[in-house]
Amino acid sequence: MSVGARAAAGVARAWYRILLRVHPSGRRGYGPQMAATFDTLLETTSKRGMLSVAVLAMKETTGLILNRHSARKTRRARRLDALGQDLRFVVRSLAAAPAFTLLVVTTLALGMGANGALFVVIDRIFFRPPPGVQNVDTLTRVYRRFPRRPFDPPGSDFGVSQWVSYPGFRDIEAALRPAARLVAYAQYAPRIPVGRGESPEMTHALWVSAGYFSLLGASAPALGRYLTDEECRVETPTNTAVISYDAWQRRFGSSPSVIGAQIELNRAVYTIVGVAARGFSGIDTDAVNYWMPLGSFSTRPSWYQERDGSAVRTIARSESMTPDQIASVADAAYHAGVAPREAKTTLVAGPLLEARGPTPFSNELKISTRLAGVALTVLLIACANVTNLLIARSIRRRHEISIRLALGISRSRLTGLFLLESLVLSLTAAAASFVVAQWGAAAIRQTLMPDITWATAMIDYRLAVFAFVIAALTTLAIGLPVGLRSGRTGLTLSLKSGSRDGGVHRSRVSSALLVTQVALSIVLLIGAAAFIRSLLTAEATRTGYETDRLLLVSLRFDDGGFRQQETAALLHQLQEPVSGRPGVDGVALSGWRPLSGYASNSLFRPDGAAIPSMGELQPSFLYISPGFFRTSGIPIQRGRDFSAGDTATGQRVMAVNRSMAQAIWPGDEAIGQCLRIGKATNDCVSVVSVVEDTNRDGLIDKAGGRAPMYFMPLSQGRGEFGTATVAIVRSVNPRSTRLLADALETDVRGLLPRDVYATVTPMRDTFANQLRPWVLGATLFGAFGLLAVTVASIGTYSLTSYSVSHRTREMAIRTALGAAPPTLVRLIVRQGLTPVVIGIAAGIVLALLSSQLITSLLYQTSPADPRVLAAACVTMGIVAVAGCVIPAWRAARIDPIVALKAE
Amino acid sequence: MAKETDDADPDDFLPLSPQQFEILLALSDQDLHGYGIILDVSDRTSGKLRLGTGALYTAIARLVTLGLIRETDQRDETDARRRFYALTKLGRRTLAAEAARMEELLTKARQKGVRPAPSKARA
Repeated sequence: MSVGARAAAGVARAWYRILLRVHPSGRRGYGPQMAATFDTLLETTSKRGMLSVAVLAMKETTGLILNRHSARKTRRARRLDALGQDLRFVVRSLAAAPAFTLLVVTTLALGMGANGALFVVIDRIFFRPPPGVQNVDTLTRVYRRFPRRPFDPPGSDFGVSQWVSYPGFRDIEAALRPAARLVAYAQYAPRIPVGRGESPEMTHALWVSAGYFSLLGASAPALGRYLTDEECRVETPTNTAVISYDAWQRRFGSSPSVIGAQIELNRAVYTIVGVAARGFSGIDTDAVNYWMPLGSFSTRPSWYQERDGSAVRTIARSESMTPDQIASVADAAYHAGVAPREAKTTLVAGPLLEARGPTPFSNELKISTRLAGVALTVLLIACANVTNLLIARSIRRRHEISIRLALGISRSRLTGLFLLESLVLSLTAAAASFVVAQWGAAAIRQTLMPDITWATAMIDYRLAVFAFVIAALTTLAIGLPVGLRSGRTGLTLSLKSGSRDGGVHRSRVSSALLVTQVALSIVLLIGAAAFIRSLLTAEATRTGYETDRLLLVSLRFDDGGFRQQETAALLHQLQEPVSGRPGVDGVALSGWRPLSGYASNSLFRPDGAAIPSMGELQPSFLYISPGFFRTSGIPIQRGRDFSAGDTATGQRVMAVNRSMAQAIWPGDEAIGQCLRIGKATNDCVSVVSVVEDTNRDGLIDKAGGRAPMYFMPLSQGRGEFGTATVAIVRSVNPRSTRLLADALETDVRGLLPRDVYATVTPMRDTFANQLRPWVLGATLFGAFGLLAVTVASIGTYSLTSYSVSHRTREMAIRTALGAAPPTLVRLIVRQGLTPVVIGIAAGIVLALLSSQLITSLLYQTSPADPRVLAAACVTMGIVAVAGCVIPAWRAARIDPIVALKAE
Repeated sequence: MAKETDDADPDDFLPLSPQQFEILLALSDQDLHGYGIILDVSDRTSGKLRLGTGALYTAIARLVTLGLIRETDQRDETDARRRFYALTKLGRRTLAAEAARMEELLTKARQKGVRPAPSKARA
């Protein structure tokens, strides 16, 4: 069976099932048999190819719609016969114009496919319940809502979290019983390593409390058993695990001997006791592969006793309580037991699907909702384009229509004929759009959420329903204008004038449609240009570090442990051999990765007076080795670098940056001053140098590159951040930094013990997360913008060439009267571009009006930025001119004698 | 679903629609499922009457309601969704009555001198 036939059969099957719901017999319990019979018909037909399947599907679905139950020639039956004739006619006439049909179907399929792809993504995030979970409506997530903390992203007055402490969970659970059940689950990180080695498989795994599987309604395990309540008691940790069906297939080749096997997760060994029901993969967007008892979550004995921790997430199931009731009971119970610092926290309820809960949208979610609007716009453009093509076609067929009218066809049937043509076109396009949607959804998913394994297949009946609805709307959108127009065709006029005058005046509707297309395309182009501009601006941001030259070397231990002293010692050892390597222009160490967050401390003047807190601009500190400033490319303004002379027992010293010097000693020389750090009684630390300002948070800096900072030598380091955790390597040539990274990784491996791994990352790569929103926006908006422009250019081209082909006579006369080819080209291009120019103007207005939809996603730019506008207009202009020039050039070469004789 | 009774008068159901007639005819010598009926009718009429599933099951539903056919307990091994249908006694009598009615019509037509067209007979 061909791929096409299979795809067509899939679509037909989906549509048939939808129609069954409206068919009287289907509703009266005959549905399954009818589906079975139809499936058999499909199976036997699909051997004969896609076209046969399409014909069968068309017949069967129309049969279902019109319910052909009586052979007596009722009015309905007569109408059905007519429909059959019309259908045959439409299919034949479309087959006679393959280029036209292909163009229309492709245009529509791209538009529909874009929507299908977005539908798959949005449906998954916002609407589809996770597979294998029963009665999703009675499940409630419990959230903590607390006043915004200084480091929370701006935009909302509240922060939201699903995490509560384990004792908090127990309090809530006890209060809710028996009206509602509550389970808790914990995780270390979104993904944890399976097994050991340098690059182990990373997977989503959860530690769950008793009753997790039964609360969610997971079906019986495929093999073995689920975790018992006894195993899940936190006081008696048990290292057992249930694995997902998927992991069983992938990792264990569906072997039944998996029960009793051992697996290492996050560096602890678990014994597998069961394989979860097929399809069950937890309740998060990312499919869960391993479930362990909550007790084995941490070996730290007190973790489940800490009241102010936030160790677990919870989910409740109740048939009798509303989510709000659950939240208020939970809130009371929670506050009775927790520390007073949680007093301002309220517990609120949310549905199972997290995207519909109280958590503010992530950038990914924001972008995907905007993209849904973009996809719809692309479809509108496609519809406008196709309508134009159909109108052009109907004008070409005026003669035929007039004859049909003269022979007595009713105007309603004529309109119906055009609607039917649109229906055939959009259904075919809908089938083709499945391929586009599948490919597009995979691409969008990969771009937006690369780290997530989605639990269910991407193509299913929901997409089929969606495609059907879109196809129905498209049918009306493209069929009605043409159908209504043709219904009005003046009989005598068009018969008399024949085809000669058919296209002298370009229809106003066509021009309006072209204006619409161009305007919408411009909106999308402006969006894409704004994102690209944001990305370029953000990438070009100066950090104060010589970002392009720097490599960061960090270490990992095979057992996953974090060993401060050992790491520092190894890094110190590496410093000398690495700095001697060709291509390396210096190595320095620091307490943690620069430009990746910060720590701050209270500061006191020498007399013990506290320096008032500066909030988000509280001076932050970094411990560094001598040579750090030179290696990083941070100029020392005045004073000296740290040196070997700054020993642990010697006078404590610090370097401050310009903003700190200005903030604390405005107008005075900072060098020579001293500050007490942490406590008023601590040793006074002397300032020995002032250095240039740098960013604090990364590429995008909340402090705008003016955060007060101070640096202290690692040799005098104390506390958690006082030892080296990362080495900074300066490359001789910024262009070879990336090459050097690969070479260094190999070199360093030879210098390290076998159970320690080194990661060498170009500093620029560590900004990827910060750049992600704009990379996403630029990629996705860019792709859709390109799609829109392609469709719009087909529109300009086809409209111009159509209008030219109908002005052959006029062009011939003009040439005969002496018009030179360049004059004709100018004439046609000017006329062709008029709607484009109007469209561009309208598009700019539209874009400016809707600009606040994306402004929050942009960086230091807006859709109103002249450079953004110019980029979009120039792109559109070039495409439009190209669309006009080719037909114009053709027209200018018309031989007047041939053209006039042809009439 | 109507009970299988012998007291109903087959004439009450006449005339049958061509689809109904063909379905009853298909079930006259064997129990069939929907797809089987489609094949049988299509074979017997040399492809001239091709029942769509919509029409077929509308007719089946009607015939079941009238008590002319009934669903059997037989199940298809390859597809559990399929249901087999059998003629009821009433259905068989109705089929016979319809055939008799048609014969009578034909006889009357012949008496009036109507002969079927020699080349193109309608199914």
